[in-house]
Amino acid sequence: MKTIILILFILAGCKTNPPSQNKGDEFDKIFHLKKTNNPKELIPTLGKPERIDTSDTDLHQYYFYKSKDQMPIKVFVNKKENKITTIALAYLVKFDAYAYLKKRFKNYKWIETALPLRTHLDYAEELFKVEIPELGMTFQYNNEDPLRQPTWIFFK
Amino acid sequence: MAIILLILFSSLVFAEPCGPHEIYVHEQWIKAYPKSDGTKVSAHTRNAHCREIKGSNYFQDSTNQKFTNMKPKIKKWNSTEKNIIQENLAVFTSLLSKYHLAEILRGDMGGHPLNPAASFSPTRTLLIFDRFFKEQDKRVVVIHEMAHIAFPSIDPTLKFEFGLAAGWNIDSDYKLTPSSKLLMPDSKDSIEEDLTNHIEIYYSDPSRLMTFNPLSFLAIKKIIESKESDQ
Repeated sequence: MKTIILILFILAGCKTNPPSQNKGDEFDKIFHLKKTNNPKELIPTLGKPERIDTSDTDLHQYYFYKSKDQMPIKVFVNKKENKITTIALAYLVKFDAYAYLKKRFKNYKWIETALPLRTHLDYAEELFKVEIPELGMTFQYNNEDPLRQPTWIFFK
Repeated sequence: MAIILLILFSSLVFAEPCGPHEIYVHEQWIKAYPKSDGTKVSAHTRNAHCREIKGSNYFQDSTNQKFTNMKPKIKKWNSTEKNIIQENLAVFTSLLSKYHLAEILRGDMGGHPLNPAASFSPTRTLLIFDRFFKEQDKRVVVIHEMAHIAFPSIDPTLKFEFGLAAGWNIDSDYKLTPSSKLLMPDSKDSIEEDLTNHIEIYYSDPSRLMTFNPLSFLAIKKIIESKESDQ
């Protein structure tokens, strides 16, 4: 009986953790970068970028898209000030992303705004914009998407 | 023992995406309510779960559903119309035929007046409008809408790879921007619309898609191959 209970606990523990995408925790890495906004921290924190686009007159764009251990991240760096301005995280998860984020950031003020309905579409859409000002975090999600995936989460 | 099991499984919050024959139901907060026998049920969280679609591909003459972003007037099917839909569903690709529909509804119009059909993936509903019956190639319309039905179950990493291949990008002002070269005019609406347009052309005119953008062709091929193995 004890063995059965132990196995059940282990199984439930595995299932309760959001799938492996949460490993390495991109949020912690991003909050670390946003503390200093120093581009020198980029490679030690996120690894080697796959590409750096310097074609924009004002911004460097760092693409960290192909790492196996972390979800895709794009970082915008102001050329003149040499500071990180925006970080965007592609939140690619296979569970209800909105429910998870709501739990994870429950201690912060959460501002949610319904966006105007786009009535010409041929599929279900009800977009909401979420802002968590304290964390400089914003994203959109489709409430009609079963997994309510934001795709991109921006950090200013 | 029963209590231990109950505690353990009540924490299963993060349900995986559902199978082609299931509907995903979000986690919900249920207010306290009395049962018909008078038993009081406390307020609780009902975890996310997958609900099996029992009566699949079912033609309905009315519905209790409310559609957020369109207001079609639902009407009765006639037998000719039903036969046309059934013929088109019968010749489906092995991928899209896996996706069961909970309701097939007949509406006057919905969304853009030129939309021949629409789909609601949360409830696995296909809506067929008047205009559908004037379309020359009805099969591609149904393929397109079934691709919308399948969209939520596509691996997010593969959707992301498709987005890159199709030229979607983000700027520092939080805007998601489509490629300047679009497969169809409404591809600009969203990655979902662009992807379903790609699936439509992949099945109906693959050489056109390969010429248009070999990278997005390969991304769609990868998505379709990944879904072919779904049960």
